[in-house]
Amino acid sequence: MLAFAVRRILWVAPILIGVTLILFLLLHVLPGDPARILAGYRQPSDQAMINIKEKLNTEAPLYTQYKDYLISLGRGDLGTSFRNQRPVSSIIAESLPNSLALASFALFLDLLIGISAGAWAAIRRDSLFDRMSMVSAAVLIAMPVFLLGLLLQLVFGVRLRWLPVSGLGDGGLNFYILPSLVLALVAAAYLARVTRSSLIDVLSSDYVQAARANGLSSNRVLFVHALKNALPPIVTVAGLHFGFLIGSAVATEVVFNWPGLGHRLFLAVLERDRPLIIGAALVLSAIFIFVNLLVDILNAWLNPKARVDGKQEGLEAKV
Amino acid sequence: MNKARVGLVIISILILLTLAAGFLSPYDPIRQDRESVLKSPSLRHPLGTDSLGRDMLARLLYGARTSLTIALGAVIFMVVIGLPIGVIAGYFGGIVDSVLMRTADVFLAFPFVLGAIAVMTVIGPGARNVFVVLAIFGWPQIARITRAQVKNEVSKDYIAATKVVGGSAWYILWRHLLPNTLGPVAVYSLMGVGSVILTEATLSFLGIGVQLPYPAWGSMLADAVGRVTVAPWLIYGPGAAVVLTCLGFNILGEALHEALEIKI
Amino acid sequence: MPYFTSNIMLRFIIGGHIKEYKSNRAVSLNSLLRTFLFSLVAILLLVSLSACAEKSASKAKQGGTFNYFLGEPVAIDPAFAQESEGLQVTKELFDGLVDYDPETLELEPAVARKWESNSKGDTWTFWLRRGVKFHNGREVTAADFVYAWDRVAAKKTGSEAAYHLAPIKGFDKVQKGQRSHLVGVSAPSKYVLKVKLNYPFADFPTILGHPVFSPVPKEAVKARGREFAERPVGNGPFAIDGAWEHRKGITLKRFKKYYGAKNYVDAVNFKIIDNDQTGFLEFQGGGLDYSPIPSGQIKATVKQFGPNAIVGEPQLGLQFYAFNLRKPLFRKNVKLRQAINNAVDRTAIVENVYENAYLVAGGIVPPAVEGYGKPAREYTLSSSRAKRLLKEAGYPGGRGLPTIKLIYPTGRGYEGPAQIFQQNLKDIGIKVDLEGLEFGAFLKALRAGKMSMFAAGWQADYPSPDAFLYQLFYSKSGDNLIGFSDKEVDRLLIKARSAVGAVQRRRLYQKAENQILKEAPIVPYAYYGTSVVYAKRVKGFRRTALDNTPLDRVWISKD
Repeated sequence: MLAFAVRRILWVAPILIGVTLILFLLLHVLPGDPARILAGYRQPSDQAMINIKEKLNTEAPLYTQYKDYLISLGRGDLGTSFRNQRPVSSIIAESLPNSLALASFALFLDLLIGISAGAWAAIRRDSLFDRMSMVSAAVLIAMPVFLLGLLLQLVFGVRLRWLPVSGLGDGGLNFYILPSLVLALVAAAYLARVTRSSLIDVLSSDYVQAARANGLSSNRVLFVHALKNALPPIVTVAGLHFGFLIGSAVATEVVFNWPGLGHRLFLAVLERDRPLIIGAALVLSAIFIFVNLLVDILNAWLNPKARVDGKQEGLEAKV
Repeated sequence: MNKARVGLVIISILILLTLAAGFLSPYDPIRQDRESVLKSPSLRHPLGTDSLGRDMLARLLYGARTSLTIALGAVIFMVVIGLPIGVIAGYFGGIVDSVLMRTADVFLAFPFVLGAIAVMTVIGPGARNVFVVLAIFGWPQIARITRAQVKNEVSKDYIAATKVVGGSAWYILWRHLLPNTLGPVAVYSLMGVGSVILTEATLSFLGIGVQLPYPAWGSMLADAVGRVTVAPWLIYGPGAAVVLTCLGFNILGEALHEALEIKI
Repeated sequence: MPYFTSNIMLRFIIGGHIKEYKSNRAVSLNSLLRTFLFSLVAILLLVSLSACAEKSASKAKQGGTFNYFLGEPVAIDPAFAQESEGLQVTKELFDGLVDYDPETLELEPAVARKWESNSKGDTWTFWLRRGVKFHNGREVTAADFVYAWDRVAAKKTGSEAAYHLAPIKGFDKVQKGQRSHLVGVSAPSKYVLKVKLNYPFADFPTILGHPVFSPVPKEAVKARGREFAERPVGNGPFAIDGAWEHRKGITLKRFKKYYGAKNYVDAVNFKIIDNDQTGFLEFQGGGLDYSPIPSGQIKATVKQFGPNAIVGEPQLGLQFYAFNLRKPLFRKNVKLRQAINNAVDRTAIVENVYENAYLVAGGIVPPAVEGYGKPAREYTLSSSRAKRLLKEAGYPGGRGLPTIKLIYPTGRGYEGPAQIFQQNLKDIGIKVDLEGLEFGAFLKALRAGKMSMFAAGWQADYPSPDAFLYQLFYSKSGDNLIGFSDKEVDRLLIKARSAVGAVQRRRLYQKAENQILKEAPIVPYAYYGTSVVYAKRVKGFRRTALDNTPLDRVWISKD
C-alpha cells in the first residue's frame, strides 16, 4: 500500500515537467507574436517591436527560455504576464480561489442532486419520476454547456430577475447558483444514472432480499445496506467529480464571466500571454493530477483489489 | 434488447437522413436568398431560414454529414491511438506501463481548450482538423480502459497456461487480449460519439470550428445562441439533432454495456 | 487605435456618436406662419401636460453611480492606452491639451486654452490654463507634458502607442534609447509648451486629443512605479477609486477639484465582462446601465428600448477587403479589382448582417469626419458593370481566373459579410474560398502573404481624413498593409498634410481619395456605426464617433 502511494507520488513531478514541455513546444509553434497581437494589426515600427520584445524578453532561443523557466519555477517564480507585466502568481492567486469555490459549490449540488435523484429513481423503479429523471439526465448530458447556461441566464436572470446574470459581484451566494448549477447538472446526470443502476443491482441481490425477508424496514434496508454497498466510497466519487468540475469549467466560466482561472487561461491563449498560459495550465494540471492521485490512493486503501487502476465512470472533461 | 433497438433506430434514421439530404431538401445549404432572411418556420422552409436567408433544414441535413464525420472520425482515431497503447501497457506492465500511462496522464491533465486552440491554430481550421484535435486529447481514456481490461485478463489462469505451453506474446495479444478489450472499448466509443459532437459545438462557440460557409451542427448552434431571443427557431433543428444523436449513441452504448455485462 | 479592438471574444467593433440637440437653424421666411401655428400648438400641449402630469422634463440630478459595461482594457495608463476599452477609462482619468466636441468632433480647448503654429506649420505653441489640478492636488504645468511625452517615447517604456509621437522632432532618437528627451518639446515658461515637428503638419493639434498625449505627474510615477499602471494619477474629471481589479472592474469617483464643468454622477463603475452576449444579458437583467448590442439583436433591441438604443450613427471606422497586391494577378489588373468592387452587394451586408447599425461604404473616408462631405467616387452594386469589367480584365464570366482565397480573423463579426461576398462573387463567376483564422494565425498569414485577399477593419485615431488616407495608403506608411503605392497619391497626401487652409486641405484629400478608389486596391463595404443601449434611468447619454462615451452630461434619475 505504502509502496503504491510513494510510487504514484514520485510520478507527479515528471508528469508536471511533461506538461511544461508540451506547453513550451505548443506555444513555440503557435503562430502569433504577443507584441503584435497587443497592437492589433496596426504595424508597430521596427524600433517599437524591438523595444516591446526587450521588455517582454521573448528573444532568447527556446531551450534557453525553457531552462530559465524551469529554474525560476524551482524557485517558485512563475514570471510576469505579457499583457500588463503583473506577476503570474498574483493573477493565479486572485482567480484560483474563485474557480475552487465554484467547483466546490458545484460538487455539493452534484452529489446532492445526483445521488438523491438516482436513489429515488431506483426505489421507484419504472415510475413516472424514474422515467422523467432518466430522460432529463440523458438530455442534460447531451446539451452543450453554453446553451444550458444561456437558457438559465435568460429565465432566472433576465425574465424573472431572481438571480444575477453573471460575474461574482460582491461574492454573495446568489452569484454562485447559476454557474454552479450549469456545472453540476451534467455531472449530476452521470451520477444519477450510475447511482440508479448500481442501486438496482444491489436491491435485487440476495442479501438485500434476505434482509427484507427478515423483516427489516425498507428505509433501513436502503440506507444501511443497499446505498452503502451500491456507492463506491463517496470520497472516490467526490474526488473524480471534483477533477471533472475543475477541468470542464472553462466554458461555464466564459459564459458567466466568472473571474476564475479557467477563464483567465482561455483569454491568455487568445492573447498569446505565454507566461500566464504556462502558469495557469500548470496549476490546473497540478490540481487535476493531485485530485486523481488522492482518489487512486484512497481507492487502493479502501479497496486493495482496485489498485490496478482508478476507475472512471464515463466522465470526460468537455472543454 | 429494447434499448438497443431504440438506439439503432435513432442512429439509422440519422444516417438515412444524411445520405438522402439531397432528396429531402430542394435547397442548397449554402445558397443565400436575400428575400427570405430570418423567416420563421413555414411550409416553404420547415425549419425557417438563417440571417443570410439560407434554408435551415437543408443546412441541418448537410450539416449532419460534417458533424457525424467529425464524431466518427474522432472516435476511430482515438481508438487507433488508444487501443494499442492500452494493450501494450497492460500486457507488459512495469516500466513500460508506467511511462505510457503517465504520458496519458499528461494529456488528460492538459487543459483541453488550450490544446484545442493551439492545435487548430497550427494545423489550420476545417472539419478534418477538428477530429485530429479531439483524437489527440481523447485517446488516453481509451488507453486507460483497454489497459484495465488487459490487466484483468492477464491475471487469469488461462493466459498463464497459454504461456506455459509456449504461446508467443503476439499470439496471446492477438487471440486473447484484444478480443476481450473490444467490448468495453466499443461501449466507451459509442458513448464518446455524443460528447465529441458536443465538443465540436463548444469549439465553434469559442470561435475555432468548422470552415464557413459549410454547415455543421455545432457551428449552427453556436450561431443560433446569439439570436435565441430574436429567432428561436434557429436553435430547434441543430439543438434537437445534437440531443437526439447523443441520446441515440448513448442508449446504444448502454444497451451494449448491459448485454455484455461489463463494467467500465 | 489598432485595426481591431482588443476585446477578442465574440465582439465586433461598436461605437458612434449621437446628435441630441438637432437645431432647426434653416428657418425660411415663408414658413413663418407654420412656425407660429406650431408654437401655438406646442404651448397648448405644454400647458396641458404640466397640468396633468408630474414634471416630465426634470432637472439634471447630482449623484448616483453609472454602471458601465467594459471589456478588459490592455492598459489605463495613458502611455499604453490604445484600444477603445482603455481609452474610455483613460479619457475620464486624464485631460490633454485639447479635446473633441462630442457631437461634431471639432477641436476644443482643454488644458490648453489656445494654440497657434508658425506659417510653415511645423512649430506649434500652446498656452495652458492656470489652476488645472492633478488628482494629488498639484497644479499641472507645461513641464508635466514634457515629462509625459518623454516617458511615452522612451525605449525602456516599450509603449505600443508611442507611434503617435512620431511627427515630433527627436522621436527616433528617444525610441532607440540614444536620448532620454524629445528635442522638439520644450516648456519656455510654466504655462507655455512649444513643439517642433519633423515636417509641416496642419492637423497636428487634432492628434493631440488622443490620451497618449496626457500629462502625468512625475512624482506619482516615481513613487508608485509599476503600481501607477494599476492606480494612475490623472487630471481628468474622475479619479480612480482603489485599484483596477483585473477582469472584474474599475471604479472611478468624481474629482472635486476638477477645473472644468462639474459632472453629475458621483461614481462610474466599469464592470469588466469579456463577452458581449453575457454583458448584454447582464444589462437586460438590470445589472448594467450601458451595453453594446450584440450582433443579431439590434433590431429587436431598438424595438424594445426605443430611443435608448442608439443605432446607426456613423463612426470613424471602415471595414474592407484588401487585395494582396504582392500577387501579380491583382497588382497588374486594375480592371479585375474594379470588377470585384462593382460586384459586392453592400446593402445586403449592412442590412442582413449589421441590421443597419453600420452604413454602406462605397468610398474610404466615413461621413463621421465632419466637413469632409461624400467620398469623391463611390462603388455600388452593378453586376452588368462588374461582368463587363471582368471581361475586359481578361476573364469573361470568370473563366481562367484561379480561386480567390479570402482570409479573415474569427470571432470578430467578419463571418457574415464574408459569406455574402463569397455569394456575390459566385454570381459573376468568381470562386472564393473563405478561411477564418484565429487572430494570431491571421496575423501570421498576413505577413506570409499567401492569401489573395484579406478582411480588415480600420478604426481611426483622430477625426481626420489623414487618419484614413495617409495611414492606410501612403506608400511608406507603417500601416499600409495592402502594399499600395501610387506616386500621384503620395504627392497629394504630402501636399495635403502641409496645407494650412482647411478648404484647400479638404480638396487635396478628396483628390487623393478619388485616385485611390480609381486604383481600387481595396473593396470598402461598411462604415462602422453605433449599436449601443443605455438604461431608462440614465439621462444625457451621448456616444461619440470615436467609439467613446463622454460622461460629463450623464446623470441618473431616481425613477
